[in-house]
Amino acid sequence: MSGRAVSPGGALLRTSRMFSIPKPLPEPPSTNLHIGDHKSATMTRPYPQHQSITSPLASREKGDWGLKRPFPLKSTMATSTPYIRIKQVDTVENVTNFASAADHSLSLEKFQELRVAMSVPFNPDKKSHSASTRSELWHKSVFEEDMDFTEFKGGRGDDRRWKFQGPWLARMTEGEFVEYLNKKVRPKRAHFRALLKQKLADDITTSQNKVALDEGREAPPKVEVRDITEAQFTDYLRALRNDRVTLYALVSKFLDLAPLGQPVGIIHAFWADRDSVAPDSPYGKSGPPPSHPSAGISYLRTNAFMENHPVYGPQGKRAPALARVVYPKTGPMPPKLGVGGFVADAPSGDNEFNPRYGSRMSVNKGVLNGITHLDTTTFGGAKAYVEASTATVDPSGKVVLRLREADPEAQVIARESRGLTEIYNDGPTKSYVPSEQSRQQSTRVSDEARLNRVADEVLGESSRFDKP
Amino acid sequence: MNVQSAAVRHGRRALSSPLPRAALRQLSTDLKTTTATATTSNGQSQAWPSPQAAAAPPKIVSSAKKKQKIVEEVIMTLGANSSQEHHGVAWTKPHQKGSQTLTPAQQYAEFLRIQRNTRSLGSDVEKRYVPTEIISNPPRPEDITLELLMASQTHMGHNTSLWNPANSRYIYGVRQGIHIISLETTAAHLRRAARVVEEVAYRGGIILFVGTRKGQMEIVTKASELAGAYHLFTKWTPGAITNRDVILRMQGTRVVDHLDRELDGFDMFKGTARPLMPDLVVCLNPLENYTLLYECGLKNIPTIGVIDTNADPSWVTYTIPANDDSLRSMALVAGVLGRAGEAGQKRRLQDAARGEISWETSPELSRHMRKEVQAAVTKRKEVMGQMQSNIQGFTDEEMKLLRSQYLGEQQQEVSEDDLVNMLGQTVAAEPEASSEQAASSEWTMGVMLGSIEAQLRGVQESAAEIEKAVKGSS
Repeated sequence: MSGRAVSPGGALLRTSRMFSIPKPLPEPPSTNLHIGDHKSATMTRPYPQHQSITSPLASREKGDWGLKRPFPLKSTMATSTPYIRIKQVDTVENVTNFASAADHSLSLEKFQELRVAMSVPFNPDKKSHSASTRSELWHKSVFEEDMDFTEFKGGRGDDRRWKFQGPWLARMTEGEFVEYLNKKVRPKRAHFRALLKQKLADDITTSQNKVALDEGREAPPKVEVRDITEAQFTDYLRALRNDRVTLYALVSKFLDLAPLGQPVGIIHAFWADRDSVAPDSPYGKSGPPPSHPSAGISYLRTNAFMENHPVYGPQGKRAPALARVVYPKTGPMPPKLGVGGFVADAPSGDNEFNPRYGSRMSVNKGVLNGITHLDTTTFGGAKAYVEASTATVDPSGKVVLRLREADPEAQVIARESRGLTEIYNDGPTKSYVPSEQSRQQSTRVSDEARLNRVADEVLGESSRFDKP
Repeated sequence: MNVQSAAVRHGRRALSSPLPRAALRQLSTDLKTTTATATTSNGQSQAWPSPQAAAAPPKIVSSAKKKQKIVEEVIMTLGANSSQEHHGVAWTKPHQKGSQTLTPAQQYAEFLRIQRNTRSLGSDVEKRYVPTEIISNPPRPEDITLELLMASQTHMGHNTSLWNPANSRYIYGVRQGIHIISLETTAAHLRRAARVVEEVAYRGGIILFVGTRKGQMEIVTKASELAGAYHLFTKWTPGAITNRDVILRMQGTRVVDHLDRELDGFDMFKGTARPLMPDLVVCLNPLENYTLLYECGLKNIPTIGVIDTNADPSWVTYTIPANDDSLRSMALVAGVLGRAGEAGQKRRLQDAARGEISWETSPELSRHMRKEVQAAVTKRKEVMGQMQSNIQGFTDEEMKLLRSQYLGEQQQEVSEDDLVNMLGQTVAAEPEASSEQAASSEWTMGVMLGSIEAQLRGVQESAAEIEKAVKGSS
């Protein structure tokens, strides 16, 4: 069952590449109020808004990018990164509005070179929860089946979806919220009441059956919705008003609202009487992501693989990436490192990025140059090797990269692969065995020499006495 | 080396008495196996491992002479191969390949044989799309497909706010802020235009390809080369059609026959003919060539134009709704029309070779030819009249004969020379009839053809003789 019948040309056009260019994403909001004033028109946006387009060389040298008109060779040929983004295929001024898309294309390339697997946001609050402590050991991929779904299955597992029909109330402005109440919520009142009545009838039936079962009687007839009196229902509503947890659950399920981060007390009171452990939404704190949680930047499921070195064999640690200190540590804020075009917090813990005064452990480990103050003497800034462990995409579209301290051995190998050090011995290896023989030989040689000297002395024919 | 050391080195073999034959054979066979396994590391090889040899301490040799002697003695040893055998590089030796041993030459021959037999296997990596192909080898009208049109970007119109509503029937929809021209419409209109070009070429019409945008020079020149047409890739000189008598005054024309061979004898016409107009104009960018299209409209010259969504389709006779900005799209349109013209020209020349001429002589040229013929006829008449008035005393019969010959000549294509010959014969037969007036009038005919003059000069001489005779007699 296909859609409306279209002409052959129409069908062809629908499958064409120009038609498959997605609509541009909205302009990313300014993440920092203070930095917002310094926003530049040419800065790299936190996420790409337009599709990146390229063209083979044979066509590109003729200006043919498959669009309305040939492109100027001056800007599209004199570049080593022939990626463009099309803002408008044709403008009123009869030109194609385009710009270079090398920034995001190369960022993507570099990010994929880091081989980072995307994981669901890590919730540091849920320390007490046993499941979450277990998942702290390894990051959970966004592509796992129990979280990577969008359809409504009916059940508590639905909270772990990343896409919901209803909005995330915490992100709405007051105006949006009022409009949502008036336009979407109010018309559904009658429907919700009918749902509640059904639920009340079911609850009464269940409790009656339970009582009957306990007393050994036969189960009474099922309570229907029509049997419920108005007074009964009003009482139920009043009770529900006070039982906020149940009400919230009912309402959010009815409207399919994105889960909000619930206070710890409530969630424990609520879930204590339930037998099944409620899987909590990983997006409760920050809100559901606007796209798939991987944001399409990486499709790796895991980073649990070993890298193979051509000479040294399988490596326990992955090849580290060189990071630049872009912002020194300021107060409690960790220093910022730039890795592959992404700014990330320096790895926490006792390492060269975290100066700890008065600690015994940090005595032997020096602190990296640009951590306490911005390093202005090193060319290009202070750099250090780090290992990218995982990344998430926050609701504003920013890639949050998590770094780990790089293994010293992996650092040495990385430096050697860049030709900075030489640790590989290409020559024949000599096993050093401190043997008794060699020592004996050396003594014997010296003994011989001494004997010779003695003989010389005895004979009196030493070379020393030849000359005079 | 003394005897003791020899005994140490060669052990039992050096000292024991000669062995019986069987034992010797046994010894020799054993020897072979041991030499294969024995390591001859430093020249002091031991054919027979003996407990004494193993126990002997390494002799420290002090002089070079002694060393040499030891080496000599070792070489003399029958039991072991003391010297290193010379081996070439590994690849120069025969190798075991499967069950047979092959020399390098054989291996190479085998490699060549396998390569020869497997060369045709596997896949060929070919380039499906070569961008220059559309200029060097454009598609024919029957090769137009919707896919080709879409790949050539013919469907991309202009920004929706730039449109001309007259093009709404060609527009399929809006996408990415631009109008999308229906591929089917483009294909149909392009085929129709190709048909027009082909027929005009078949009828021997003059086709003009116009593309004045940057990059279209190559396109229009190639298309016109294919179609045997004319091209314009610079600005159209305004008035080159309507005011062509002035603008194209110095431009020459050619008169050709049905096989496109130039004809002689039309210098008069070439000097006086008006400059030609095209019979069909193909315009790739009507927006910039409004003047040309307007002039064509004034002179009823049919035009084919590529109409983008911002162009006015009423400017041209035959529209091709397509993207006029993309060079690839324009190369496709012009290439298809060029191929169509090529087909028309080919068909015309084929028919002409069979004798079927698909075109008619232009009215100016036929008028000129008729006029020329008329002038020749009147001239001849004049000559005839002159001669008739000169020659007195024709009998009625002779006059009738002359008249019938003259009329017959007009119909039966009797050449002037024949007529003059006949006249000359008649005159020679009646020399006394000619008078002095004839001679005087003869001199006034300056514009007569040379051959006629030559013929008539004889007549004049005979008349002069007659005159002398008459004078002499009188």
